[in-house]
Amino acid sequence: MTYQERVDAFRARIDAGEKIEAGDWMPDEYRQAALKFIEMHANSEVMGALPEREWIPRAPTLRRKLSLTAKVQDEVGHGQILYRVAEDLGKSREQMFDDLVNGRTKFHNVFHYPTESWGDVAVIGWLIDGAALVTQKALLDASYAPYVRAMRRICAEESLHLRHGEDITLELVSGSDAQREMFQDAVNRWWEPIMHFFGPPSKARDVLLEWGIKTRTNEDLRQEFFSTYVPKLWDLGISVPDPELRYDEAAGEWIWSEPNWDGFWQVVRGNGPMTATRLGLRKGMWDTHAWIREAFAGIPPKAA
Amino acid sequence: MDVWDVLGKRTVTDEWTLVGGVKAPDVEMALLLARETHFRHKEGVAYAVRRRGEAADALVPGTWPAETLGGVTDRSYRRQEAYAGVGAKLKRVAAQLAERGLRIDRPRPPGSGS
Amino acid sequence: MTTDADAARLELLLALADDELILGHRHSEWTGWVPHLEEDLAFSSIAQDEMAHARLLYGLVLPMLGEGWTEDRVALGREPHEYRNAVLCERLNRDWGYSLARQFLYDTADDVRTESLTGSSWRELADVMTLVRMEEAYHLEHAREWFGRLAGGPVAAREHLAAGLELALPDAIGLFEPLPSEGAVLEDEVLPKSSEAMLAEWLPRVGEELERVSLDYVLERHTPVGDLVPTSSGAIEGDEVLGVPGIVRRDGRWEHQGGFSGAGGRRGHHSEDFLGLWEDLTGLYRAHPGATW
Repeated sequence: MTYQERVDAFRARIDAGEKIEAGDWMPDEYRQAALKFIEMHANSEVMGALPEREWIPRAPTLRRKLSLTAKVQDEVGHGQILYRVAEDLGKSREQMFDDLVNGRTKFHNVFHYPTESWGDVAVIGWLIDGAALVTQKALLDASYAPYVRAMRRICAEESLHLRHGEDITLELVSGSDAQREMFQDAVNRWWEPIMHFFGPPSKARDVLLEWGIKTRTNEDLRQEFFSTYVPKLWDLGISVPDPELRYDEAAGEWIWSEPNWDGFWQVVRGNGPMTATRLGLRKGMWDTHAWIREAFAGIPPKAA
Repeated sequence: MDVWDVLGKRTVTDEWTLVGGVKAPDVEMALLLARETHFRHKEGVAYAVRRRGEAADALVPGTWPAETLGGVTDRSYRRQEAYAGVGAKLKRVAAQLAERGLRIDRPRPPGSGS
Repeated sequence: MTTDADAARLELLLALADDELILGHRHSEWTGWVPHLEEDLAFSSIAQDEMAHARLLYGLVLPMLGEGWTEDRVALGREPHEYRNAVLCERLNRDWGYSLARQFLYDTADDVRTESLTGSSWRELADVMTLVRMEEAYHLEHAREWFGRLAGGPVAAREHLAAGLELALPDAIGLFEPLPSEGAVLEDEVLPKSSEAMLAEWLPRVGEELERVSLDYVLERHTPVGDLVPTSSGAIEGDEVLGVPGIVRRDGRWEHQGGFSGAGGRRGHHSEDFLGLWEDLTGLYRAHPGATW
């Protein structure tokens, strides 16, 4: 068979809804696209741990201190699962980590921003995890089976995180004026990054959609996010800093103001407000603890 | 550094099932890490690891008993049951805030929200 | 507080619970950036264990405090001098070599302590200790496994671990600083073994573990020498005189001599590392009295 014949046969498998396993033959474009997508997802989980872990030492109750620790633990766990999947596509975890901390690969925009208050913990835990869950559920239909299996576990854990974030939010919005303001202020600051999260209007050719690695468009996912969360925010008396945002029943969709995309492109290029700081922290830890990797790579000690 | 397949049993009568993998320098470290990587949410009653590439029956079971997997002290803060009432809480809080006149009335899909 | 016996029990409980809370807080500061991904998960579980144990112990404290006290007020609502953790627990995490060394030293000490307390005449405390020990067993295995791997590894790994042990050892001895009212809880056997006796049990164990991995030379660096050296962790009160703290090897066993460096925690005197921790730990709770979260 020629390469092109193999590619066509592979495409036929995907179009028929077949799932691809790690050991199957793949076109180079598929392998590369899947690896890059999953690597970025893994990077995002470990970078996402950094803003949230800032609040573990400062949690306002012992129970929330425990639950936030467990939540960040789970995010790291998701990174672990996803790097494992990516590794089996042909790139070592060590290389992926090295590329990440040295700014050569990317992670999702929302994790490039600072956190300022416990209100941010609520927004991250409910709205941002909510946005992520919308996109992650869509991946349950992806063509690459190891990724689908990883996503099943991740989605199950994320739905717990979501309820946890919702619980934190409800305590704030039903609390003192100061607590309500804490949450509203956080929503105001995080709204634009959340709109950016779903990405700009889709490109003409989306390789990821073609290969079934992604299954829904950016617009689709953003609309689902609006429908799930905006009515609840409004019921809680929390406004959204977009004066246009409303549901148009005739059109059957949400009308919203496109954000300024400049900030998005800055972040995507590695120039977000916290990008350098957070990568610096990870790189510092990576560089100063090379001795652990060396110890782990060594010959096992003889049994006593 | 080697990759170790991690296997588990949800119930005592199950067969060993592949649940994931860990990176570790030796079998003891692999078992130590597998316990918290794949079983801290009470995903199983037994766990084992096997170095990638070895025979299927070369798996090494872990020695921690089932009741210790996932902890023995109160872990409700990270279990679904503790957050089962959140949906109802949202409705209650929304009703209270509506009474205070704080609900925001803007066009929304029919039947949405709390 | 009605009786001296109650006061002594409270003091004991706070020492135990605060050790777990403060160390759990430090351990939890590693969650998200431990140098090995799977180990991040394992160490986070250890951090959560310690904080969960603190909760159980604060649960025993609450009935003794009465009206107006809650779990969060005990854990997050006290002034710095009211916390009775050993100074070891509040020290900054520094690097993985230090944090791992501290985890090893603390959890072997906790093993000695909790084992003795399963025989406490206070039944509820004994029961909590039995439960706690089921989880602490993993901590011991964790420390042993990491020690074996690092101490049996390249020179850089041994050196990082040795440096961590070097720094942590003096403060670790302070885990066994006698409680101010220890006599009372020894008398009614709420505390079955004195701090001094537990130290005498712990140190040889540490010595054996370190000899097993050829790191016992670290202990030799703590031989008591010369005059009393003031510590950063609290003034010496009144006529109290502390011999210089140190570790010696006698008749094939390691022993403690002299006073305690890293002491003061049991009397509410903390190191320069405590205030920053206390502000993080308690700040948000204290800023909004009466709020629920």
